[in-house]
Amino acid sequence: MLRLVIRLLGSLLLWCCISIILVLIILFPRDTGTYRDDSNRDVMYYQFKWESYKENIRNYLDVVKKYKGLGKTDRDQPVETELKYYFKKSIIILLPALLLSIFMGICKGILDYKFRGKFGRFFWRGATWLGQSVPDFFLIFLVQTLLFIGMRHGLPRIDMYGDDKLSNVLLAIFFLSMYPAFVIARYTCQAMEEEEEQDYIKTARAKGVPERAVLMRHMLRNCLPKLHQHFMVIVLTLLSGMFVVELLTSYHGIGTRLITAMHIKYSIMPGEPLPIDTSAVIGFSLLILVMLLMAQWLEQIIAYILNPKRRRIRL
Amino acid sequence: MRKIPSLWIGIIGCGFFAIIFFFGPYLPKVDPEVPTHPYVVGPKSNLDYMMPPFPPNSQFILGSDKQGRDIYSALIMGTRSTLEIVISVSLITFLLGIPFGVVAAHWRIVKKILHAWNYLFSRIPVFLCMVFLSTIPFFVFTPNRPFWLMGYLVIFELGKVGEVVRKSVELIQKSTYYEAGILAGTKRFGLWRRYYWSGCYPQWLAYFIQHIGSILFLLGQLGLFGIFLSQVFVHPEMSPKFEFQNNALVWPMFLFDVIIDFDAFPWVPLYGSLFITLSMFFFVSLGEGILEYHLRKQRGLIVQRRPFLFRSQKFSTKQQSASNFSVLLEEKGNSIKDLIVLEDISKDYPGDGVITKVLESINISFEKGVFTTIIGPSGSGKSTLLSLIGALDKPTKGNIYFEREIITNLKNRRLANFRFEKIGFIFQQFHLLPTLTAMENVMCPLFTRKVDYSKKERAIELLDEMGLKDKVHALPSQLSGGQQQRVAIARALVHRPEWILADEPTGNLDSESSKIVFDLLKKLNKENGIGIILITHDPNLAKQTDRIVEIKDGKIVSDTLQTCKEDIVGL
Repeated sequence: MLRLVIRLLGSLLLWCCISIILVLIILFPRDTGTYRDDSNRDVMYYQFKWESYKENIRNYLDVVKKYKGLGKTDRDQPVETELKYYFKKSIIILLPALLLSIFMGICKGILDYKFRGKFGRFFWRGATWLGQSVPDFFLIFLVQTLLFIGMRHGLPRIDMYGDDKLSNVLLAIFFLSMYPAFVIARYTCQAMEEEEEQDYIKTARAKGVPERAVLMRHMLRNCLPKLHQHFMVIVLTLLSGMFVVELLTSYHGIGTRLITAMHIKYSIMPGEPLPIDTSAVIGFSLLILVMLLMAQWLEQIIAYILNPKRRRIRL
Repeated sequence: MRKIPSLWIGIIGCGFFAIIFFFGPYLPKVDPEVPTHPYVVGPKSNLDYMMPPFPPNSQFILGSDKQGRDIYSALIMGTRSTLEIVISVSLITFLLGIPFGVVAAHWRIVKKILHAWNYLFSRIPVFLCMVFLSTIPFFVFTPNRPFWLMGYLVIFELGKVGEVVRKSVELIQKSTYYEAGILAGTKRFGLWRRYYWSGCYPQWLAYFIQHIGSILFLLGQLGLFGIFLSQVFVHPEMSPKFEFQNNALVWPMFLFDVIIDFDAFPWVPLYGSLFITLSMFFFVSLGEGILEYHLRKQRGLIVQRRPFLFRSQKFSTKQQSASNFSVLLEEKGNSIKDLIVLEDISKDYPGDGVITKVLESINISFEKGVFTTIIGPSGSGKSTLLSLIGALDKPTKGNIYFEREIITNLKNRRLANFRFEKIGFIFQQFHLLPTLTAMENVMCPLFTRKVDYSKKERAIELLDEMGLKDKVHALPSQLSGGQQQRVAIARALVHRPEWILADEPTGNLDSESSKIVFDLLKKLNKENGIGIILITHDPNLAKQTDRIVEIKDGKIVSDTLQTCKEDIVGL
């Protein structure tokens, strides 16, 4: 137990370090300058100044002190209020997507393992390769295009954009969970094939244990620690996917709000600075980091529970 | 290979993209210039102008983008730039990641650095980090923006690649045949060539190919937000504004158009992302196929008549009859020098806060002419003792003398030479390389070594002596347990060792095969004077040997000389 607590505290410490680095990156000065070169053309440049960097840090700390929180966004809202609003929106799709992808992935992995005949291997595993090769954005484009075509030919109208209807949430969950599900399916199938080689599986079969029991009780249970190793990868994939899904379905969640706050510019007037909504960007970035910390703690707790040594001690 | 569809799909698909890469401009209906069309004249009248993006029609097979560029031509012509970028990123990552991972597998400090690297760079989604970095003003204005962004991508991916490489190398290090390689005295370079490289490169190759697909995925995601690696900040003529311009035609550029009005022109992002999806599918399939092929080859389901690693094997022209081997040993005879002395040997294994004492203050000596058996219950320390004698492990305390030389202090290279010259190991599990034939397995310790006899003839000679003349080209999977063990004995004898250390060589064999193997060992001891130290659980076998040493709980409890040999020293 003490080891678990130390691990959790270690993750927290590292999280603090990463958060500080990220905040320091966000607070980089963003002033620009312009000059005219010999051919009378404007040239924009950026020169890093420690003074302005220190000023940015000082200003942000003043804001934190003044509001006793993360400050106010450009929309004149306390950051905490926005965080609360957008977190609710995003977690509604993130958590079900995580659970759905784990459930679908494991089921698909078991089926991939079970149907390994000449044709089964081609079709089941082939479907997993295909699923793994389909990026979330292509899936969204494809489904949206098909739905558009369908709706033009009499399919009932489905609202695909926004965040206020059930169909919006369900579609976002579907889009978000598909890619991780196929990745989990692949890991599950691989882990089960590795388990099959183990002597205790052969022994279980030799002793006449039914195939379903061998599969579910012996193999799958022993696969769980291996699958658990990929938990953080899946969470990171989901979080990356969240930005894409929210953008392409106009779902107003953490991802779209963070990108909006970053004010990505594609054209700039000479001398125009490159400002960002600092308080909002810091707030939402820290929120994402908190979600990742929670995921990591969850991973470490699961690892502790699954640890066979612990089971032995309890016995 | 015929039965691995993923490999075929991957080869065909990647071949298709290779054709586009090299011959794209010459393909039908491709305009290499990819011109923009501000408008086109409609089909009905000259006054019927159409503004881009144009839907798919006879002029634009896949439609056009907002600038009126033919998507078909742009995708074909963009294949080169896209693949160049992703392959460059993957290649640089792997060129740095492979040495990083390999060193991490050998040095604990580098392993910790790798863990810390992974911890630091894989706790935030790469996509988010790239968006953050690309908006920092320095990276906006710098003319080297593509290189900076590429560099960041490499930094983020390096830890992942290093970790995969480290795990694959450690897997080889834990394998039984790698252990056999060390015990056979293979040098470090030989270990690399024979075990690591041959075991790891298919995995690395497969991962590299799949990594290209994942980089494409990431670039597609970044493209949705208008961030491209080939993007530069410029001031266009006749424009007051500075703009980001994409220097290269890349597939993700079509995804950016989707932000506005997807339902009005869905074909633009759809075809762009279709190309990314197709290439990802082919790369993933090829990677899977390579892994599958390697796995089948390892299991002996795919047999190469001459594995390519052996094609360049040059045999020594200097011939020496193998029959000289036994004559030489007989001439040499036993001498007082032929001793292994263990002086106050202890071995502890620390772990989980508990120190396990495996051997405690062992004082014993072994003489070459005496066939010695070590017996004892499981976990008593027999195998550890054998590992220490064979210099596979180092004792926690004490010295081991081999012909008056302390072997516990030898450096890696000398240790490898010592094992190669003096010792032959035989294991319970045979430890044969599954993809090599019996002859190649016997020759294994001789690779990267210069010897004054013909390697091939020596291997055949030994297999003949072991009664396996007709199994020279058989794979281990095509041999019975007894036959495999005889191949393992031949491998142990290939460089005429002075000692054979056998760890339960008959443990996996039936009584008949056990007898054959035991008789062989006995013959080697009596006729060739090779010192044998045998671990066994079989009391009947032990009774037939000269000396029985019994170990219990890490201590010698009895040491019985069964046959009267006056000239035995050190007992």
